[in-house]
Amino acid sequence: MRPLHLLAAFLLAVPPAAQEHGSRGALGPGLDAIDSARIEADVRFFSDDMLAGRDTPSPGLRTAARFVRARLERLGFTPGAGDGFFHTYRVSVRRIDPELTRLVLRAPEDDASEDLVFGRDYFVYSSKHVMDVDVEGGLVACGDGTKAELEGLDLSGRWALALAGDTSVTRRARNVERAGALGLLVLTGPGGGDERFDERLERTAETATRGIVSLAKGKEARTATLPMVFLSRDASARVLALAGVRTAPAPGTELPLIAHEVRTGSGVVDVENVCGLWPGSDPELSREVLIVSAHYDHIGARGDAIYNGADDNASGSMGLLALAEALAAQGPLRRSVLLLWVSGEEKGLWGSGAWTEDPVLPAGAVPVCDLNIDMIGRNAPDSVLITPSPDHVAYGGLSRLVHELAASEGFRDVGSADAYWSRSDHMNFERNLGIPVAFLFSGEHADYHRQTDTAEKIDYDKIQRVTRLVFRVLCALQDDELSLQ
Amino acid sequence: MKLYPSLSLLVLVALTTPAVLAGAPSAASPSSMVSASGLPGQGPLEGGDEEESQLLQNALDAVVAENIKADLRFIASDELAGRDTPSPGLKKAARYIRARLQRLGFTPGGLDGDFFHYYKMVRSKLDSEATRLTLKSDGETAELEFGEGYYFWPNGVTALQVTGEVVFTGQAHAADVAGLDLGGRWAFCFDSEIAWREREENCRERGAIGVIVASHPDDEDAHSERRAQGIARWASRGGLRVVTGATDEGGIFPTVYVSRATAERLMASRDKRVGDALDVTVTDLRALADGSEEMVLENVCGLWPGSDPELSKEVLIVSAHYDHVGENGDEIFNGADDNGSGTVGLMAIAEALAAHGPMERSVLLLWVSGEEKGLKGSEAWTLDPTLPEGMRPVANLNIDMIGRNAPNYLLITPTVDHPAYNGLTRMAERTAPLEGFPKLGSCDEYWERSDHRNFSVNLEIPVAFLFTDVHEDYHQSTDTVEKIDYDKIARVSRVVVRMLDHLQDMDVAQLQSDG
Repeated sequence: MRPLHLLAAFLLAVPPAAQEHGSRGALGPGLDAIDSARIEADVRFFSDDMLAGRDTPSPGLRTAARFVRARLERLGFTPGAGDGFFHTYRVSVRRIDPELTRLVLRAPEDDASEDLVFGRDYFVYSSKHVMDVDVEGGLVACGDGTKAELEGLDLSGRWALALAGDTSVTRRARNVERAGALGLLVLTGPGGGDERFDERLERTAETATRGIVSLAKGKEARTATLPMVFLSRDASARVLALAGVRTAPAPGTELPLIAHEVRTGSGVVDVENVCGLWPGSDPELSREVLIVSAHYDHIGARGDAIYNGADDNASGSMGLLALAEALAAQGPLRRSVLLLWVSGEEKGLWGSGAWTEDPVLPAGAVPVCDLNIDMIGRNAPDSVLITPSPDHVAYGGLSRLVHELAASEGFRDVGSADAYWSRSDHMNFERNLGIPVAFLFSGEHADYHRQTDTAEKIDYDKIQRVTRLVFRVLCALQDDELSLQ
Repeated sequence: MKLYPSLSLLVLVALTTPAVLAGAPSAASPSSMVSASGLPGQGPLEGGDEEESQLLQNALDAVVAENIKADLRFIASDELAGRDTPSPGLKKAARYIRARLQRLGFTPGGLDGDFFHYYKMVRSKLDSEATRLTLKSDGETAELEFGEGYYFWPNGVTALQVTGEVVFTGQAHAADVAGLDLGGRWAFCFDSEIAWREREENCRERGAIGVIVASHPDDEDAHSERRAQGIARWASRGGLRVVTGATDEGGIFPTVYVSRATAERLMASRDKRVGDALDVTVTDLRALADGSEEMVLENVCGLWPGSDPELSKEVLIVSAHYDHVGENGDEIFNGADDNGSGTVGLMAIAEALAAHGPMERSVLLLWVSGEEKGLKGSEAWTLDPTLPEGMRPVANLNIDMIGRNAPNYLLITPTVDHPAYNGLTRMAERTAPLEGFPKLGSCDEYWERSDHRNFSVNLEIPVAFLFTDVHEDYHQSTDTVEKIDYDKIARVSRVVVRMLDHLQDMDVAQLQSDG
């Protein structure tokens, strides 16, 4: 963070009248409608355990979206996504659903079979192997899976059975795939796989059942082409016993077993951004839309550990709701305002990416700028960080205005958030729409992305003041001509 | 750009129900005409001074159908998964209500500054192997498994073993059992129109150890083999029982329902007369499976303290249950009417109070859970009320299912035909026309079926229940928001607000004697 003396000198140079901006846009009843006690009630709902950390996608996130929508409806906002308040984009979820996933080995002669349970008896090697599978075939031993051992073997239509050994997993998979195998089944036994390996398998299984989420379009995470499973020591012994052998036989030996694996659970789901439009009153200027954004997702839960994300970003999300109340109390501004709660931020700014690549605005309307608020409820009461700072190449009229007005809400210590330029949603508005942006942020803290980011640590008065600052900026952006660049 | 949806709706509303515009600042508004000219000499309805009537007007104006709709779309969304007791969806609903109360500046109405009143429930499962009904007569023993020719309601199961001979008691009317000594014996009776509680009470008073109920031989068999099997399947999920200090854990009075075939075994012949002993000994044995599960449930309580130093100690309670019946596989029971409607109506009443400012008496808004499990939340609260030191409850208004059927159709209990009839009903009858309900129908037959019952029985205060009746979507997955009449919810909520306005300073002792 850069020293502040230059900026403080700059602020002192601004005459008090300019700081109040009475000339640029009148502050009406809106400012007083932003109330810290109400913000606290909302943040406590939004960061409650019942919303389970608002992961993208999750039922908790959907509940959060409906909470926001209910308020927008009450306040008389216009649906900002065409028919409704939700702008949706698609994400793909690859997961292994233990209910629908199984590996059965059976001896065709005498009806005996082993029904193996995912995550207990067998595992996948990496998240790339979280894929849909439905393959059935006989088993052929292939030693350690080296090229030499596979020489001359035709594995087509059958599973390759290997002992966990020294040959690298990926090389082995490549070798058996070249030999035409349906899949690779790896036995762990004496001499194969250590405890760290076991741990890794268990971790992968946990990730696989939770799901691997990616944007449904564009650079989808690659999956393996060959199904590969690792059997636990216990299951390995049971399978060998079923086959009537004591150790994996010599390469090329056909085992008297059929292996059938089904792995499934993948799907594509819609994820929501919440959009509330506050139409402007001026026939011309109302076509220009001032956007204020905050991401409403967080990082979810890991087992029993819930990441409530009270600061990140219930603070900004509920600040944005307070701003909605301010606008409702104020009545229309000359320009239109779009309040945008985006999801998928924690996954990589997905929601703002989806919206800015395909903005949904009324016919003829154009986005003018974006003010983004993310984590605005912690650290010293009088400090706030802003990007672009005067040092940043994107610094211009909008960010200057935010800097100028900061003191009017008690922020005497204005720092730079330039280091966070690419870490929240404003970046997508700048990159994809080419409009001026400003990001307000109250800094990281020891609870960042920890379970301890909870509601009782929040400075609600600070959220109130950051939100009022944003409201002042909106009111100051009502002149006929704006020079924001 | 579209018109605001609220505008178009208001126009419609204006065409259909003039009373909704009572909030408009026009001297000629229909409601003020009615209250000024239509009801002379009704005391509180005359409105008092101008300032008071302005406060009431502020309160009525704060009840807005569009806001009610927004809230219901949250409460009845799939994300709340039918608000089963207990469930994560129910907890979400409770927190949504709490956030609103906090915003509106309500005082926490639970203990220690908490908006939640907590109560405990135990989920116990029957050991269906060991649970059975044994009929013994002259050397012959028949053992029926639970669900095989007999059942009992599995809500709140406890272990018990009750054995005795059986006496035929007709329909167990008070007149039937008068003069009978049922001491240590089962009362066997046929279904009739009398409520189950009354039937139990009649037999218990004569010393019976339990009641055995069958359908009358001339009627359809309401307790058929199939029904018994259905109940047994339901029971396999486990029954919920409220745990409070005031509950006598051991002493439940058993009622068992038997199929026609079982009844014929008991009766041996049809021509038994009331008071005849049946030549059979019955043992009702109920055993619990291991591992009963204890859980903590929440009622949401928002207190709106009164302004009068004395009257504020007397608390007017308005209640609505916020739970519903959950989901079944992929099917979600959203419960938009039951009781999403009352839940969000009560939230609108909270807004009305916030707009009004303090009333002279205190008001407690109570959203109870566990209603669908047998009025559990209101049972727990009324057995252990959480009111600040020195405060006492004086009346209860309960709203449950208030958003369906014809716009001017509203039911109430207790009516003049009901033993619990009191002044609240007369007040509702005078007030409802102001909100477009010209005449109130009776729902006395639902007396036992919603939470007002517990306020009446456990707290012995006057109660009134407002209800817009069942419909084909009742307890179906089709009870959804698009079928709801939001204006009707708003008007029923305004009836309650008007009643609170009358109740805030009247002589409440008069309510009881008004019956």
